[in-house]
Amino acid sequence: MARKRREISNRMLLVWLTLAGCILLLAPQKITGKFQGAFTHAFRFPLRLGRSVTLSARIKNTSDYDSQRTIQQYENHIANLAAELEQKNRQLEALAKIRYRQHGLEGAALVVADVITANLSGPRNELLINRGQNDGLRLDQFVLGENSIIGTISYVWAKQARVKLITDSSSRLAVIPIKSGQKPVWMFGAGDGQAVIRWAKAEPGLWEKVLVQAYPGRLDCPMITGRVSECKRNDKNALLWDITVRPDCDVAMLGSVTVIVTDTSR
Amino acid sequence: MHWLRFVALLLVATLLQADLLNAIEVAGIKPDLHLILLALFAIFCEPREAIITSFSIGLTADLIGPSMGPGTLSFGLLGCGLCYLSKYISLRRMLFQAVAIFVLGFTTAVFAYLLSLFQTQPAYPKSLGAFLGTPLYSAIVGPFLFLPIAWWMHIRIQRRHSRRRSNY
Repeated sequence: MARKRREISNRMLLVWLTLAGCILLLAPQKITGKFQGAFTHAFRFPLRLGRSVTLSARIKNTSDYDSQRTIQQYENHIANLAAELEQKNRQLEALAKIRYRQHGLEGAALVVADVITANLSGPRNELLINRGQNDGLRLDQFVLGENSIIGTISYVWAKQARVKLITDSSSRLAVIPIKSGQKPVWMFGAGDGQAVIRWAKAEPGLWEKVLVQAYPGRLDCPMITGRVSECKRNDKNALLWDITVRPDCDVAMLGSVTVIVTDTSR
Repeated sequence: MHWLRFVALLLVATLLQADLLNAIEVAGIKPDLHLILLALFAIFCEPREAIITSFSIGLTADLIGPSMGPGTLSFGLLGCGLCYLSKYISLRRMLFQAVAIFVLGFTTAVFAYLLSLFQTQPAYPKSLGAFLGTPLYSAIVGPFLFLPIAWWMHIRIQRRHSRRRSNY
C-alpha cells in the first residue's frame, strides 16, 4: 500500500515556526544561553581563528601596538601597586601589629584564558573564554585584562566560561572613585563600553582612576578598573554628579585575559 | 532548493559574522551577512522555502547574538513578509535590492529590539548604528553578494524574473 505523504500548508508551517520562535523568546535565558554556548563550543576553533585574523587586521603597526600595550600594562600595574600601597599604609596605621600579606594576589592562582568571542555592542557586554570549571573557574571571580579589572565570571561550563564585563548593563561593582580614601560607591554597567557612577558627591577630574574595592576572598586589595571619561551634574539634584567610566584597556583588542582564582583548594 | 548547500552557506556566514567581519567594520558598524541572505532567499525563493530559510537564518543569527528568540521571530516573520511582497514588487535592479535590504534591516532591528523587551534581560542594542548603520552597510554590500550566493545555491535569479514578467 502506497504511503500517503502529508503536506503541511505554508500557513501552518509559518504558524508552527512562529510558535517555536515565541517559545524560544520566552524561555528562560539561562536555558537558551546553553544553545549559544553549545554552538560556540562546537565551532570554537574557526571562531578563535576568526578572532585572531580580526585582531591582526586591526593592528596595523605591530611594534607600536606592542609598545603601547606594554606601557599601558605598566601604567596599570603601577596604579594597582599605588592603590595597594595606600591601602597597606592605612592598614598599617590602624592595625600595626597584625600581620598581613605582602601582595594582593599572592594567595591567588592566575589562570590565563584566550578570548573566543567578544560581544561589546548594546547592553550586553560579554566575553567567552576558553577556560572553565576544569581550570578552577567559579562564578563571580574577577577577570583581568592588561592588569586592570574588566569583569567577573558570569557563567561557567566545564571548559568555557562567560565573562560579564564591567560595562554590561547587569553589572554592579563597588568601586572607589578618584581617591582610595573615599567611601565605596556602586558602579553600574551602561552597555556600549561604558559604566556609570550615579549620584557621586564629589566631582572627579577627567581620566582619574577608578578602583574596584577589595572583595575579601575574591580580591584582596583594590585594583584599577577604569578611568573617568565624563562627569556631569545629575539632572534631578544639581549637588550630585553622574560619572561615566571607561575600562582602562581596550577590551575589543584583548586576545587573552587573566582570571583571579582565589579559592585554589578546589 | 539545495538544502545541504544552504546549511553550509549558513554555517560559513554565521562563523564569518561572529568575529571575522569585524576586520572590515567602519566606525563600529559591520555588514550583516544574515540580513543579506534573508533578503536574497525572501526575494528569489518560493514562499515555502522562504519561510524555512528565514526562520533558520534568524535562529543562527540568534546563536551568535545577544539572546535567543528575537532574531528568530523578526527574521522569520519579516522575511516571509518580504517574500509575499516580492510577488507584487519587482526587485530586479540592484538599487531596489539595496533598498529592500535596508528597509528589511531597519525593520528587523526595531522588531527584534521590541521583542527583546519581553525578555528578563533585554540585550538587543538600540543604537543608531544597529538601526540604521548596519542595514545601510549591508544594503551597499548585499546586492554584490547576491550573484555569487545565487550561483552557489543554484538559484536562477533571471528565470524567476522572466516568469514573473510573463504573469503580468
